Amino acid sequence: MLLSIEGLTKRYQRRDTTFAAVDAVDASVERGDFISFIGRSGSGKTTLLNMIAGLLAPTEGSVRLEGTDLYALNDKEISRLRNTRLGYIPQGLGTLANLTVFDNVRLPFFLDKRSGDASGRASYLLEAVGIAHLRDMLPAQLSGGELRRVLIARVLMNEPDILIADEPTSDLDVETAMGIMELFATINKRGTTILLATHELDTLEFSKRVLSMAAGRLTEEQRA
Amino acid sequence: MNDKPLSTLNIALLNLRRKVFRTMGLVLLAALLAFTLLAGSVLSQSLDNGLNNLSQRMGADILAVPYGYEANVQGALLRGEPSTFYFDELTTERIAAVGGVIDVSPQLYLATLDSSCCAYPVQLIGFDPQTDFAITPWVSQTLDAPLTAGQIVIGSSLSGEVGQKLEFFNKSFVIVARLEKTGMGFDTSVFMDLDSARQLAQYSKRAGGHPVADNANLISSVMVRVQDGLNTKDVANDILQSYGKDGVRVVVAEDMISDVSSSLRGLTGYILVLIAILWILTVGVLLIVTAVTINSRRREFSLFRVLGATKGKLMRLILCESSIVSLIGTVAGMLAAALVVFPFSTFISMQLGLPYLQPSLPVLALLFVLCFIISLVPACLASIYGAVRIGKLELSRTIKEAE
Repeated sequence: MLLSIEGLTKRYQRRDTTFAAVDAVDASVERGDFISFIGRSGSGKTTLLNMIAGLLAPTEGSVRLEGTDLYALNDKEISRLRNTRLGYIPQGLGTLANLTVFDNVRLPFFLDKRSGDASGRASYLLEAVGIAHLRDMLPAQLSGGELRRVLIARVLMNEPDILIADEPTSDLDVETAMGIMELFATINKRGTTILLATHELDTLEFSKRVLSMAAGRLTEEQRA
Repeated sequence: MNDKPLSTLNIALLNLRRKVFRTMGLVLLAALLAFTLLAGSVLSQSLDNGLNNLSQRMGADILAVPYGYEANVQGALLRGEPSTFYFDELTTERIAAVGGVIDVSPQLYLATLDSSCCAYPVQLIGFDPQTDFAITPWVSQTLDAPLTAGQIVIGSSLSGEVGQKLEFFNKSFVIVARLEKTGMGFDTSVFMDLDSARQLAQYSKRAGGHPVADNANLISSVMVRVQDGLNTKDVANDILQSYGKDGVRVVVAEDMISDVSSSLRGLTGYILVLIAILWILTVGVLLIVTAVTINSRRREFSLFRVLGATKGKLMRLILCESSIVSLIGTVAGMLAAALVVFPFSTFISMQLGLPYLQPSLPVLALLFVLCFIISLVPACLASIYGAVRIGKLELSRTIKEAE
């Protein structure tokens, strides 16, 4: 098992009441899985993905990556894990405006000590996601679909075990969204585990498993 | 195409380059601080040196001058302002007879507005090598044989090399020595023996109209040395009471130095206040800019964290950015200060009208190092503040805000 989620809970205080954005979620993810988390806005998908990505400490429960409890690690250790094994594409955080497309893609390589051909890999990834011609552009000069491709190329820079994406096709037209989903499917076929949150049912055909969130609780949808 | 590694330094440089106006503003502020700090320090140290030198080199305890010319002799000694005032040579002998006086020596001041050496008026000072105790001690530091007719010693700010000839009132003189920098009016004065000065008066274009040309028994001042242990002011009072009615007035060197000292205290006080205000202003501005920057860049910093940057990496990035800005600003400010303070030291000293003597090279080097460090402190404080703010950055909250 690649990822094990046990009793994962995140509670928030809202005035005098406490509510659980994620409520005692248990799940397991195998290597090579392609899981879509579906649910309405506010159902807890993003909170769950943030906790799986090691960005938000849970109130209760644990997230274990091949046995390692993410929230038992110190800042340096969990940062290294995010840099090497957990690739995350948050919904709201995109590219770094001061860096070119090429540098945005290369950046994760330089956030930890490692050797290798960063430029060669970045060029290959830009080619693979179909935006090699945009490498010297600044993010402000790109369309929404092109920006998503930059984010996908960047998240693959350090060859993570798990790619987590929050609403990767929101605000995109159907054709562009399908192109992005096909890209995820290709990446998954090459061995990367993919977890993504979506509320666009059209994209579910690319997933191997669909998990539904409602009021912080998770249930598995049976595929026909 | 740019394949340079995205090190912390390169990312910091890219960030600074993309925010040109903010970067330039901060560089200018750092430069202004460094400029004021170095220029102010050199200025205040030079004035302090000048004052110390003045008390060491004055030689005389009392200066006797004609009535109404007390301020002129100070102008001549402190700033080298050409002055001409005269009284009878007999005054020297009279003052020598006053109780408590152990040495007296006459001096004769001539002024020229026309000489081949200088772009500004020069004070010519004739002194008696036989009795002099005020000038000879420091002339002999650069001169082996006693000064003879036709020979001159020039102040450090005047142009001309040893062996070169200079003309005053169409009379040629050979430079036999140049004085070390004194920070006083001596730097822009020319020294010769008393007889040569008297002869020079004869050659003056104003010959016939010049008092000394008409009366060879005139002198400008009498330098007086008082017996150790006696109160100088009491002796000055005795001189005044004895010869005041003959038009003799006295300037007590101690009072003159004290006047200069109080002016100096005032000026260095202003400089220190200015430096303190600028330093506090720089710290304040940098802290505000850092706070605003971190606030406006929370999304960017969160993204770095999502991609795997540690808090330490972000702190280094902030430190790197503010260090680059401060370093460029400090170096530029210090260079500008050096370009203003050193080449124009003579001009500054004349404008200030106070004894001005630049510190020695080791002291200057120490001032440079100190100013450099003090100029960088605001950036360090801002970086520490930035690091604390980044440490408190809540990643999930920023992500939520960005959605």
